[in-house]
Amino acid sequence: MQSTPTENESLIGTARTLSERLEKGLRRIEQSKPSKELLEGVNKLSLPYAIFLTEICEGACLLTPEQTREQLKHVEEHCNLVDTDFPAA
Amino acid sequence: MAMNKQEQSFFDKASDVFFKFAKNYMPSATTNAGLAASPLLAVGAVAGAMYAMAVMNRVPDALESAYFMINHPDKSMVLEALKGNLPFDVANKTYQYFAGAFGAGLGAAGLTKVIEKFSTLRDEADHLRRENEMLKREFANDRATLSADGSPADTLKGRLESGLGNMSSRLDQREQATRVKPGPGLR
Repeated sequence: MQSTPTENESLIGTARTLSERLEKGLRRIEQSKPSKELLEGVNKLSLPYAIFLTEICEGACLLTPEQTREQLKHVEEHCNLVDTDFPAA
Repeated sequence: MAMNKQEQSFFDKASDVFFKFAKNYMPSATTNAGLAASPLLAVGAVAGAMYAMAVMNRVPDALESAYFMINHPDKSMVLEALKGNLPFDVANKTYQYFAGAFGAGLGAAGLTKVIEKFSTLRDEADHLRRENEMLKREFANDRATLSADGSPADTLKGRLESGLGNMSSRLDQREQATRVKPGPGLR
């Protein structure tokens, strides 16, 4: 399945927004003086998200647009959880 | 260094989301293509899922596996897993599978781009990069040794295939368990 340019741009746009949210969330967690176990875990969960988002932005993601959107939803869910439990001051 | 209650509750929720994401990179008939396309992401996904499961299940062996890279920065986790040296059996089987993707070549250069954007993840990305370098160096020898002893069940391919679906089925179990009883997870 080939993605249209518009579709592609919208996915990249979403990936950029989520990249910023993910990084900001990580910073807030870091600043919350978390246990080593939590920090370690959050980093482990976040790295694959970061790789995935970077692949999209670099045009290196080989998933179909539909699959990409589906995976992006999970990243967004993650960011929502972080925003709720580690809200910006 | 264990998590407090709030942390645990957050991490359980985050892990459930992560499992849904990671599942698409786990070995199965339908995801093999994606796996081969992005082995680095796949390995990252497995490391994350393994850690999350270990924390949720509070299995000491599993936790030790999860901390392996931290406690043994000079060793390749994948290679140790290939030799069956990780304390947690699921960890061994999972890594045995993913070593197959490593064999196909890993795009570690992409990690530089990731670190540019996510400076918080520098250390974590470094773990993955180091893992990859050690593996590339040692994997060829190890593979040669493994295939040299000839018995089909013990070839790398056989071992990889025997690990196939293991993680995936663990995630299915978890999915079912959480569907029935949402909450703090399997204990």
